[in-house]
Amino acid sequence: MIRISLSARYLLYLILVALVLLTIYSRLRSAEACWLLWSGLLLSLIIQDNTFSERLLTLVVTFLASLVCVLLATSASNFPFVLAPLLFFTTLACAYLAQRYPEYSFGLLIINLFAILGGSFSASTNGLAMRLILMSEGACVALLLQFIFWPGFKKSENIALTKLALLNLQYLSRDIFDCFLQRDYSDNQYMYERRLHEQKIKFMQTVVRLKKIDVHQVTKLNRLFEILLDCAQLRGRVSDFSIFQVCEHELQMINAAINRLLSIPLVNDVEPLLEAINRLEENYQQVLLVTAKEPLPFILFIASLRAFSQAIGGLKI
Amino acid sequence: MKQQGRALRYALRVATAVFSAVLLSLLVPSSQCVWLVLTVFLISQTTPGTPLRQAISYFLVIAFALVLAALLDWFGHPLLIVGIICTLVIISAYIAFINRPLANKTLYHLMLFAIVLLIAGLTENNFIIISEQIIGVAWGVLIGIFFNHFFFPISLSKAFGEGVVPVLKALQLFAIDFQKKLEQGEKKINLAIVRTQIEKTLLSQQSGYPEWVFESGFNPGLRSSWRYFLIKLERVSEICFSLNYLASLEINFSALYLPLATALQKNAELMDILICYFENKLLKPTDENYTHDLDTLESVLQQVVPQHIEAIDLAEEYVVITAIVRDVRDMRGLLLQLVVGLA
Repeated sequence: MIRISLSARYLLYLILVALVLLTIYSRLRSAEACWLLWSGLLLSLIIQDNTFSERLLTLVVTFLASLVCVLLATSASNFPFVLAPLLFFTTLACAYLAQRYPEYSFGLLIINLFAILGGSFSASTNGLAMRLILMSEGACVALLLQFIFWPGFKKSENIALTKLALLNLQYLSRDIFDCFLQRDYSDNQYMYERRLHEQKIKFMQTVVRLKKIDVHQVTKLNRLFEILLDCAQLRGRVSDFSIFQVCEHELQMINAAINRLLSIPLVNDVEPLLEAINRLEENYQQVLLVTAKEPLPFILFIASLRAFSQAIGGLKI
Repeated sequence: MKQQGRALRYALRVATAVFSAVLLSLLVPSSQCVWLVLTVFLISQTTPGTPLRQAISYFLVIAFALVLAALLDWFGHPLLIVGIICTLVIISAYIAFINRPLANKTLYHLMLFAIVLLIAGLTENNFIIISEQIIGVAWGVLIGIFFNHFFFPISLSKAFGEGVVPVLKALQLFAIDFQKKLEQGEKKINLAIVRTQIEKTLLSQQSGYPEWVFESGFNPGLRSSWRYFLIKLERVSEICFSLNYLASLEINFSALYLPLATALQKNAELMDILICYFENKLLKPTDENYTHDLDTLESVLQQVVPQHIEAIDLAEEYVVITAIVRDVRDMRGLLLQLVVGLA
């Protein structure tokens, strides 16, 4: 459900771009017709930026740079000793900028790709002119249809990124609880820790983008992230992992309750979580306090869970 | 500067590989040229962890896309072929979009497949020339691997060191900032700026954080020790995030300010030893006692919170103070493990 609503506009955009391009393509008789599709479809894959105008600007700049690269590379395609240095400098610039500004790496990859394609397929002067015209047509289709995103661009990006961040948090919480609940954690620590690392990075990447749109929302999400990481400390504070079997059922309940709280649509009903925490606390008083080598980390874990239930109560989309 | 140097070295390697591929394409049949240059360009994008494995998987993806394009050419009407290719591109782009941010290699392969199919399906492609095209791709893979390994090659240990130093520095900055705020007796501790710094350095591409160490198939001789290091380092960063949350709670724990500041200072010193090791390949000798300050901290904590464990959760304040002290202690334990591991 979350995934469809998150990307419905983008899917519609891709389908419309493809349909319009196919309609134009079917009427063309030129050998250069493929440039229309390459330009339109590749540019439609650019989806970053925080405002509508920024996205349009990125698309226009990528298109213009690609156009210049194709013009130069096609002109030099019959002269390998001119083409080679030309592609050298184009690739050098694109690869360097992609490393320095990773958010624009896909656009730079497209420019580089067009330069290589332009150099690989030679064309007569008329062919080159046709190639550039068709590229422009393809880019126009990709650009004009971007207006699908225009109404409420910032708001829809905000909602989409918030939902994505919540999804990342859901996966992170699942992976944290896997460390407690999966009995092979101590044998396959690298695998579990890698999963955690990936979820943390995904969350941070999403939040870095969201920060440019809605700082207030990011503060709340970051708070949830920090509390979850505070909960995750339990895995390093317990030396005997078999202790988790004593409270396995309670941990599973908590995991399920957190998953429900972080799923979309957002339900701010923290009762199931509080009930699960209470069950864990009872278990702690009756069993863990006596059997666990280190009972203190469980007190801290329970306190973090309570803080989580409070923090998520204030979250709205 | 180091980041710029690394980016420039990488760009020079890719550009020289493409330059050589264009010149070498003069020696091969024309149907191979585009695939040779294109493959060299794509192979140059591999990460340092498992370049050979990635090169082979790229080869398989490109070869599969070429075969599929030839199959489509054999079967159908040109417009139908274009329609199918567009549909496949839409599906790939959509799957990549719903799984953004892209951190998964499978998704990257999917996008690569879509792009290659888009090029192969719309250019001359059939079963007569497919073998030549695949040979072109194979040459491209060999040239790409050659440049990855011999032209401005990435020294794994250097890349690892350069990748972890920014994270260590950000963590050290966090510890120092927290320590200073405690020493100044600030009531509401705000560590947001230094926290953001940790976040920035952990986002791999910008700082070169060596997450390629986690790639399956990474050098078996190095992986266990380097993964061990990264896992411990990530746990230290998690503790910093946890501390940022705990410290922001408006709780009066001024009695612990000084012993906590001392413990954080010692943690920062340990981080300095690690930074010095990765920057200068030198393990700083130290006579410091790294347990005494923690004992002091624990004894002060016992004066502040109830001594009986069951009474700790009587007040939120006690739990938060205990959690902060525990975080600082855990951080010390992890840092000592890392330093001892290097020794």
